[in-house]
Amino acid sequence: MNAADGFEPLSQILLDDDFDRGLQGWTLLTGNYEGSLDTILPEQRDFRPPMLSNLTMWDTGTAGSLHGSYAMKLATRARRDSIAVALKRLTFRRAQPIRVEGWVTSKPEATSMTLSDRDVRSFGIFLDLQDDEHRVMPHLRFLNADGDGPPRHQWQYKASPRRAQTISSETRTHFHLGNDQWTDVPDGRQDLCYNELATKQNWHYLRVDFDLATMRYLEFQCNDRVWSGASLEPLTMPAWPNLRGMLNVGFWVDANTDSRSFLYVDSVMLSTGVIG
Amino acid sequence: MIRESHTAILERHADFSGTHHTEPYECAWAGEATAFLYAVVPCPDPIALEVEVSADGRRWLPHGTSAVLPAGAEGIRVPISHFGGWLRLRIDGPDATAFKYDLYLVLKQ
Repeated sequence: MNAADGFEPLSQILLDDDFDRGLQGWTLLTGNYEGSLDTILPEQRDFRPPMLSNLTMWDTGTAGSLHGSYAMKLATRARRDSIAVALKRLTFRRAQPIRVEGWVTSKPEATSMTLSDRDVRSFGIFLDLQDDEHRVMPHLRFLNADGDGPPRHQWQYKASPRRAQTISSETRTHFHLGNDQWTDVPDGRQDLCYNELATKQNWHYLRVDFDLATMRYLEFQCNDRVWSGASLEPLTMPAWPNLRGMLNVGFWVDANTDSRSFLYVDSVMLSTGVIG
Repeated sequence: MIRESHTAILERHADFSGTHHTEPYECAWAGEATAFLYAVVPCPDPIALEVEVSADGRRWLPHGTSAVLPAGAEGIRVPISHFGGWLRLRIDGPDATAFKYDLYLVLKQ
């Protein structure tokens, strides 16, 4: 851990990923399949992969990342509803609180000299967990804009899964990153610093505390705002085959217009321990 | 220190649908790149590939590297060097959706 990262981890650090050291296990998500890629749900066939970016802008050159030169970049296609997603997969040892922290920034592609501040629909963070009884998938997103309406600037969670599709006796799949079934976080409006041009990036601090013992949110923070997890619900469903002990962490971004939407992640820390 | 490397899948079962470009991929950290195009469903016509580069992700120029996937071929590799910050491929294929390809970009420090 670099002291300058600005993270406040719990007692045991599980991940300390700074993308100056490569993608470090953060990889493209693909929908489940068996026998043929044609069994992937249509919405999940074209998730876009992560890349390493040094945040070079056409008008100002290379900015670098927050703590070095490179960040993980997620880039959608220049097509409304396109999604880019990256995740890291591990398992947990103790059913106790975990904390995910990250430094992120989101912008549209600077293809036109306009503010373009409604081109990004949303960006978010999710966990994918399974204990003996349940698969639990906390999803939180910052809804920037949806359609032609005014900016939303609203944090949301997703509590209702779409029904899973059975691929075989051992494999199922479901689309959980769609623009549906989101619920506003109470008092969850937050204006994030956009900073005038599509080529100016300001980094934002994110923190999610989640208890693996109770499978409940504990707390959520973005910059200067902190929300209690008491009123937030994760996606919860009966345990799926062969996922016991899963602990996945992911980020995604989706496009509101036919322009590319970007999410940059400078660094991620995952820690576990007793809170307070 | 082991050299950093990364394989990005830019297209998976994509259509050879006329003239199109792959999505831009940032690779300023890499010193060399090799594009691997696999014909998942081989095309009876030749497919022309041209590497394009960009300094800013916005304005694209020919890299000077091009290749042709022969009719019916299973795939082709295209080595690329001195490419700046962004890479993409221009692919000239037939206007049909029956022929599909995978495109991998293998990057090394």
